[in-house]
Amino acid sequence: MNTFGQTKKRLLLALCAAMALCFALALLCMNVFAAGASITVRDGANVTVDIMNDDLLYEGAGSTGNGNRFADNTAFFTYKAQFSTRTDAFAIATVFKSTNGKIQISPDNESWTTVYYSTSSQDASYDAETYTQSVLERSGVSGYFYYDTDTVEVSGVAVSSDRLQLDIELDGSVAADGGVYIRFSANTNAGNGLDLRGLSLRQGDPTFVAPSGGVTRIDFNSVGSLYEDSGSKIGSMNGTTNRYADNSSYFVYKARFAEKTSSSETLLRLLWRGADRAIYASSSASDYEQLTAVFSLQSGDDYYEIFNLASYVGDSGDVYLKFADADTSNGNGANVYFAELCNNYAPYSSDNGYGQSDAGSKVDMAADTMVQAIDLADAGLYTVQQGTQQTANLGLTVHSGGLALHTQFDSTLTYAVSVPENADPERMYFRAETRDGNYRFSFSTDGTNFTPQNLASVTDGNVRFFSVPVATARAAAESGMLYIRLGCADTASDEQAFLLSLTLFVNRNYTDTLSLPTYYEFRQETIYAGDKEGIDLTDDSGYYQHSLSYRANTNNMDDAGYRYYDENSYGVYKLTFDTKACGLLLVMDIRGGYRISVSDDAQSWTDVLIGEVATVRAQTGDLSRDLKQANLSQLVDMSKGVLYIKVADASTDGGWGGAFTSLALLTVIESETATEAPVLFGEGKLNTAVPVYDPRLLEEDVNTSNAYLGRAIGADGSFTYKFELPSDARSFYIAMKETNIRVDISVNGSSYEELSRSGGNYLNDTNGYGSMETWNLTQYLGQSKTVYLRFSRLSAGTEAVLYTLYAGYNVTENAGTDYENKTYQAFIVGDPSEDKYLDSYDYTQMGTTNKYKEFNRTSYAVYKFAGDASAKTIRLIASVGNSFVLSVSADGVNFRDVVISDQQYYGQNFLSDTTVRDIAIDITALVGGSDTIYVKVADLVDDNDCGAQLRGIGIITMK
Amino acid sequence: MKRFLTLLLTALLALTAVFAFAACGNEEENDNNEPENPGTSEVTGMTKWSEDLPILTFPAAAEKVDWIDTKDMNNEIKLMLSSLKAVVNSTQPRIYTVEADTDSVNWLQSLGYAAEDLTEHTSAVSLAVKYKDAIKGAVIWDVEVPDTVNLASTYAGIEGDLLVCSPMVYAVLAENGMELEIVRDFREDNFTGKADVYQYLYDNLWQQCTHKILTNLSYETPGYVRDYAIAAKSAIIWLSSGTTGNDTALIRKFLGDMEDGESALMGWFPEGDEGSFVSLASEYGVMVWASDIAENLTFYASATEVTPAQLAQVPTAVENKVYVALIVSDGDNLQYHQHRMRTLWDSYNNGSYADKFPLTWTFSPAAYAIQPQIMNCYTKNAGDNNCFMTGPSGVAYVYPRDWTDQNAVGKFYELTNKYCKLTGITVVNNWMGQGSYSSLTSEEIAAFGEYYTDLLAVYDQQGTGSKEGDGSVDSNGLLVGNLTWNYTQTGEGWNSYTYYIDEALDDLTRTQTPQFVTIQENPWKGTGMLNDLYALYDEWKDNENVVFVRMDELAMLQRLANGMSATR
Repeated sequence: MNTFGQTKKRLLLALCAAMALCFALALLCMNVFAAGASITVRDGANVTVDIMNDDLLYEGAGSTGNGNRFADNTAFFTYKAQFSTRTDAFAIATVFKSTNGKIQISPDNESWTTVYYSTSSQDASYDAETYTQSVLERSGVSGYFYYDTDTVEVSGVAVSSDRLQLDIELDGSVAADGGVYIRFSANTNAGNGLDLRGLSLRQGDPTFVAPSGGVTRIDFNSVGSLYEDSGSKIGSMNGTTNRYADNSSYFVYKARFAEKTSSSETLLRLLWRGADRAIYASSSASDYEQLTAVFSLQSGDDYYEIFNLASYVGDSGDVYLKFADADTSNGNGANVYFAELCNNYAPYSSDNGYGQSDAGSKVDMAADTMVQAIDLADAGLYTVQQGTQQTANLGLTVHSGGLALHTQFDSTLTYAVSVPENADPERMYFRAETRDGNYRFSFSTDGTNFTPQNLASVTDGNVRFFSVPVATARAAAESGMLYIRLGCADTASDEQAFLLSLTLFVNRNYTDTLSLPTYYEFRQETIYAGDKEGIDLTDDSGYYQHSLSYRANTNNMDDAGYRYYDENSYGVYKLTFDTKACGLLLVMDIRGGYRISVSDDAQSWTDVLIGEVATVRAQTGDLSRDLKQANLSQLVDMSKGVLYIKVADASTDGGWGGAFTSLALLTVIESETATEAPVLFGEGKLNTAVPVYDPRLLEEDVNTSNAYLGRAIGADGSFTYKFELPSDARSFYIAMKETNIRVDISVNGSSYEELSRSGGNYLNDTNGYGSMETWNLTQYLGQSKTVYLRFSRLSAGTEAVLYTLYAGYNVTENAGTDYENKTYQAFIVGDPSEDKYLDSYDYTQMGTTNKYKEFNRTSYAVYKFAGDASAKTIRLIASVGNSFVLSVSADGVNFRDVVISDQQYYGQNFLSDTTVRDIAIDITALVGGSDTIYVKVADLVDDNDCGAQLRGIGIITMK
Repeated sequence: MKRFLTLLLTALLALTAVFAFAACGNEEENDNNEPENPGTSEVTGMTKWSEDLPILTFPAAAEKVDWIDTKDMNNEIKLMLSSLKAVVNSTQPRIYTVEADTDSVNWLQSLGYAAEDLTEHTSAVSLAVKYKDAIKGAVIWDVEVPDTVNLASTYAGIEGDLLVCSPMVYAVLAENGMELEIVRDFREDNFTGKADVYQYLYDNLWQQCTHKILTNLSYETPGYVRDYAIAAKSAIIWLSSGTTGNDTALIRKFLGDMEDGESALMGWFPEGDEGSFVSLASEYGVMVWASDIAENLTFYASATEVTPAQLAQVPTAVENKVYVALIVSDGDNLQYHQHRMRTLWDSYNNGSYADKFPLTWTFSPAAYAIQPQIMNCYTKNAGDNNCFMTGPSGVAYVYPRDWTDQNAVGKFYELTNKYCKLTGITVVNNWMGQGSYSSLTSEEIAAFGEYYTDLLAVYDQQGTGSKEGDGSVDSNGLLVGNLTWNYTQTGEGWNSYTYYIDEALDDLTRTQTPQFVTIQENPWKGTGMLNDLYALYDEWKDNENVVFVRMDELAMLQRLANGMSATR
């Protein structure tokens, strides 16, 4: 029997049927997704369409590339725009050069009008490879557009060397309800079809709106932004696009100020040039009057000028601005690089003379911020000094698309910066974007004596990060002022120095000024990266990182165990504290170029820490790690009992932002009466994280102080803990994180021996995080159950800090009496048998293998078994390895530790299989009589990744 | 909706994979009759040892099969399941597992099982409960000394009908109504580590184990060949080779107790130990079958008739041309038949290059006894372009030159000759020894001729490289030649292969004699390997001086070139 042939036939039939089903489903899906999407455009609004977002498409999808969407052959994609009315509707489409593109519009998605197409041409006068014939049939423009140069001069059409911007009038194709369909496709069934690079929709006149208290910038590139154009042209200088009007040509923009009252400040500031430059204003697009600047600053051919538009702004806030040539007989007309509308924007107001150079003005770094980006256009912030070799190239100009400062020869520009007295001299930086190599920065703390310095810098493209020399920074903190001067490195050369941006970073030291009251208690709350963190304050910025995030599906959680925030992303964490707290110490275990700010209302923020802003940019591997603290009690309203902590990137122009491993808040609560003395091991605990900051737990204390959450040791200092373990203790371990710490052990409190950092009972994993040094001290229990541990400086001349200390012990385990009548409840992890016992868990730091579930750091699982009040013996059995704590409870709330791993183990030192414990413990005394038994498994040391590897748990009740 | 589509497509693909290989079973193969395997004797329960190969064979598989996917299953559960399979399948194969993470294949439908004959399980515990009447007790291993997994498995085989349980698995079974008698609890021995465990095994259990096979298997491998080892009462150890050390000293004791030419080492070796381990086994005349991830041998080793491979069309004359045979290596490896070979086979036979170029698959003729169902699926469905030759060095992986007892080598050759004949394989891939190569001695060539009386040719595998002349000789009617380009894993592209043919064309021009080129490929390059071979074929197929042939065809042509008859 040839089963082969028959089977194959059956297979083919099955496949055909299934494929047909798939096809039908695919069609169904396509229809589901295709219908409905439309883009609403309100009157006067200009909506930029995200062409990479499939959800905005009405039909079809084409293909997407790197920032573009294209349609070849029979492919197409359609947008539907929904306007308020049928008139004054426009689409501004930027298309890449192609020889086979087409754009159509339709009121009903059926009858189409072609508004643009391109074909190839064999015109002998042009290179066939670069010549494209494009026809724009609407908007009063048609003709041939050539892509082989970057200076195509066609009115109404802005082009670069490879793209064309089309201002498409949609009127006539807009349906009665305001809807219109815009379809992008190939012109013929072939490749090289329509390649869309940008799309915006507009109804009514293009209008630039300045918000109240803010600014808006006019875009000279966009053809769609022009209200009127008569022969203006696009040019560029220093990489900056400009629009100019010579002779009789002119161009008009419509502006609107959001706030227009009699006292409103409605200003226009320009950077422009042209001997016959002229600007006119009108509230009605007619009867223009020429404007005179209220503030003018010349730098060579460039003029930085401010115009007060108050007399021309209509009640609606609208004003029309016309740029032209005052002398139509020749060129030298308005040539505008930079134009900005300012509506009640304080830096540019009549109150300060619209920004007049004044040596008294200064950059204030003594306020709440540690990071301040300088507005280079604010001429009031810097002073200019003509050198011996006079130059016109001094002050404000334009470069690379924006404003810039420049200088030449020995002329200079100087910023005066006020510096707080607690400024950290180790962390005073500035970030400068420069062009050309002929620049030099110099410093002064008195504004007179400048020392030019060849500063070491970290370069990231044109951006350089400079560290202010420590001696200079220290002097600046003392004097309260730092002067930063830009000059030329080679004053004999005519090469200019350009400064495109300048940001200042000044860290401040908030030292631990906690002074402990007579009676007090400590409370500590710690958030580890990857744990359930803080709260979710999601806003619409798109940058906010959900704080209730999980390691497994969070895009900014690094495998190495820290959460990072780069560029404009940030996280806000919320911690609460007792409103009676008198001290508030924030400790960050963090690295990178971080910026930490705190707030008591999540609205107004005070910077408290910035990281290695400059040096991190030079890092190619792991960033060095900082343990930083700040006492916040003076910075927030303590009566609110809530603290918001924002973790961000100090320098938002690149990566290497803040990356934290943990953040902790230590609060000191004052008591009126003596509180209960703290103990090393809480009730029912075999394992403890010793609160090293609490001096009351110390057996001896010689010249130590609080440091972070740990304890610092001064010269010849030491501190000692006394561990009094029960008589049946059979194992004892410690694990810690430290700097320069020596540990001595004693069984009598008088004769000590130093713990060796070699040998089998000492483990250390230098690649890990958290408390990674550990000793198994079981051998000493043979001499005494009371053990003294003394911590002192390993190297006498170097600061020593013990940051964390974990300790734990086991008592001799007893499996209990066996009885014949046994009832088993048990599970193996990963097996279906586990499901019915799993009660609650935190899996944020849990991983699963074919052998075990590993619970790291603060992750845990609680399993719930049935109890038996009449049982004579209740035996806990378990198979668990690595670093673990097993606890049991009769109520699911109050757990008592029953066994821990004898040691804090590290993966690279031990195979997981060699640390497994086969556990059998009589827990009758702990849970007997209860009808429910809870068993919890957790990590031994919760600040590192070496956790409990659970294989199975069971309960045997016996009668 | 997208998720639904994904699931549907996934299901379709799975369905396609299952059906791409035609069903090979038939009614006779699924009944309860005793197998008509000509090479079996010595009944062990319902299983039998092959009369001449160290292979335990099983009764015909049941008509209804319980199967379970264990890929994501906990190791302790998988270990228990292996012991359950050993017990149940020894009576009649009826439990089947899908275990491999890569190249995973569920063969059941290929073997002819209809969906209604299959019951899928998701819980190994419930499966154990189903067969609890067949179980007489438990042997407990010590989770604090993981090598006791192997000790307990060995014990379970000797004692019979025991489940190998961790304490937790025991408790889970007890909770589900299987509070088994604990026959042996290895926690009580307080072993200090691996050396302690295997020394105990040698001193106390080895004499009760079969000496036909020894299984080297990590305790980290709870499934795969373990059920077969338990069923066969094999000692299961995990020792490395090497010239010194406790491991080697101990494994030499085991090997020394095994019969030359009649025993086999199964499982595999610690990383990087292949050459030295095969050499060590060969020193004791012990054959090797790579099988550490061979699954379901207790199911596949049930009696099935194997359709013999078909010989290529017999040529009548050889021309002055370059004859090229393309070979896929590693067919000595039992698990390769189950996984990677099936992936490659499906791709070759059902891909875009189906039946366009001749391809020779190495294949151990031992499969005739240990997984005849698998072998039959290949041989029965092989189109004309599919050819089979043995892997090194015949019926098992051995280095004949390393055998201390050369008389036993003769026994091995006899076995190879017999099982090649039974499976229709006519060409042997021989690998004399590892390391630096020296040409075959006249005695070695004569021995081939003496024992390979039913074969066309034996090709010896030497290091990669070309040579002057093909060096083939007539040894008592057997062609003895050399493979030319071996394990071309460093080629990584057809450009290097084409060099081989270029060189042969140069020789053809210079000598005006037929040229024989063999290109033996590394199968672990994946299906891209087939693309490389096809590209080579496509490059040369229109050249009138280059002819691509099957390996048996090449052997017959080369026989003709040596003045021999094409066949015997």
